[in-house]
Amino acid sequence: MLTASELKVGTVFKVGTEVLVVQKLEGTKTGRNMSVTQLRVKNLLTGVTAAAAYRLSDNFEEILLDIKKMNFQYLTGDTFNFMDNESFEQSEIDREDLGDAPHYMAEGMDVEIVFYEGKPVSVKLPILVDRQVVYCEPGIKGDTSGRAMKPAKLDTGFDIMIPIFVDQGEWVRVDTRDGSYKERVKVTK
Amino acid sequence: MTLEIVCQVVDNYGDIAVVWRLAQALVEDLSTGHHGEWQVRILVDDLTAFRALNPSGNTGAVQVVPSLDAAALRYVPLPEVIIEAFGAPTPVERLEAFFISGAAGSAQAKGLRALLLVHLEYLTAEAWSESYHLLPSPLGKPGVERVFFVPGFRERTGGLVFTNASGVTNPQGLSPDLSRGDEDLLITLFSYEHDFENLWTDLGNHLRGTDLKARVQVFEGRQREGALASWERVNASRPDLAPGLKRIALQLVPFVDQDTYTALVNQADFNVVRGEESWVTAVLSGKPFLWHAYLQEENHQLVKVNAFLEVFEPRFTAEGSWGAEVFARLAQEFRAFNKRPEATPLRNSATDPPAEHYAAFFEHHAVLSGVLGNWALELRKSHKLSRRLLDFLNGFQV
Repeated sequence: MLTASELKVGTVFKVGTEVLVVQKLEGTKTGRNMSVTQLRVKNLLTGVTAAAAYRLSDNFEEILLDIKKMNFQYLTGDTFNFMDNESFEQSEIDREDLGDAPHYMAEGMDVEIVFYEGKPVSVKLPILVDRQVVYCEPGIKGDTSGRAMKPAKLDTGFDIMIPIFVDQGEWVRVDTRDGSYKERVKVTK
Repeated sequence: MTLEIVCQVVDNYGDIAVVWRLAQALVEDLSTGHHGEWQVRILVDDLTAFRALNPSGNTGAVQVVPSLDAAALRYVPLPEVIIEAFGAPTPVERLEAFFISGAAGSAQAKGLRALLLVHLEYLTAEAWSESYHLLPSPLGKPGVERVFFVPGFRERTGGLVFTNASGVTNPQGLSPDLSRGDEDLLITLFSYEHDFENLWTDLGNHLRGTDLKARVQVFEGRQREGALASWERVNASRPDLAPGLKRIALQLVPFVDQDTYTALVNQADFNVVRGEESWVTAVLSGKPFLWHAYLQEENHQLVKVNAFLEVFEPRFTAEGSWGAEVFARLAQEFRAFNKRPEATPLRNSATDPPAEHYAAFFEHHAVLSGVLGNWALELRKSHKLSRRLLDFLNGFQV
């Protein structure tokens, strides 16, 4: 069994006769004695996408899924193309099924693709990914506390907040659960 | 068709009080004939608590079933709508039967899109109440839908639980000892455990040197010990306040039923209230009040308090700079009353030194009454939860 508190973007779960995949976590709110999470889900049987809410204590049936390591090849319109690293087979997933994953994926990156009944339905990203800063105001040396932040654009086109000492062209480690900056990293590519 | 409200009495009368009020409000609205034909039923696991609130035993058009035991409910017909109030669970076997009934198309046979399971949440003024209200919660059960219904003060929420009759000061005739007398200031106290030293000192100061009189009605309940202990302490330690304190009459009020409590809040000039049901009663009375929110981990109740303040702040600031000034003092006292010292056990205390003050409520009583009175009128007109719920059910008809 799976509880609502364990749901993440890309999780596929069964509710009664319906099979749903989490496209987006909208947040969790705490009431007086219970918490409720708001999601955007896609029904894999009907293709319908809708907002939904569950109490964190709600239970769901887990679904056996195939997960394959694949490489993000390219983007055409709103369709992401991935290639199986072993068989070289290609699979496509629509942007709306990927939740926030496109914020962190750049071409050539290895990810895990989730398949339900032979069909690719979502992507699983590592919690931390390294991405390059392609635009930000010049870095200010001296303040390394990490408390003073500035906006920056990543090589995926996604905007995040980074410390003011980070410079354009540098690489940063980002938490894919909430888009937060973790640390500056050295990447040799 | 039947609308069934499930209620579990957990630690006090709060949940059943709201549920009983909701049932009465639904019957009241249904009697206008504009919302279809619905019977209202309450399933409650503790009849003692319910009888305390409604000692007459007269439930009018509301059917009350005193059990949440599946075996006992076997012969109670299944409803078309189940409202699980505040997380109260429908017995598993009954829920299964409800699902089977839905799959068999019983809703469509009655002209409904589906059978409906409603999660009725606790009242909150937080902004998320609007985005969560009416969110579906798919069950994957054919013929059954589930939805969150979130009460609130904001426009796009489920609104507030009240009856039209609950706005009446004297519904059935208050006994003479509880009715308003010749006092100039009538106050009620019904909160969680708290030390009321500052109420006595501020009220004593307010009355000192005047010929005004005050009466404070202290209800039976969790606040009484702290209220009495602090009253004795202030009388013993503040002889300078004696002229003012002598003008205060303390009245210990035994447990009263819901209608009587509501009437007492409506007739008072200032109320200290708690939780949900008495909070709403105080808001709708249009009188100045202080709300003791349900205590939560890490002072989370302050989030609730701040959200509530945020909702009615514009009503004060719209009055200009003096309105903003009055609001600032009011907000300060709400926060001070509800803040618990860090790293203390998760329980209210009748002995922790109080931080709130009451002078603002007495000094600005007329202003507060004006603003809160107007707000109460608006809420009564447009925020009735039972009406919003019935409108929603109308939309469920095919």
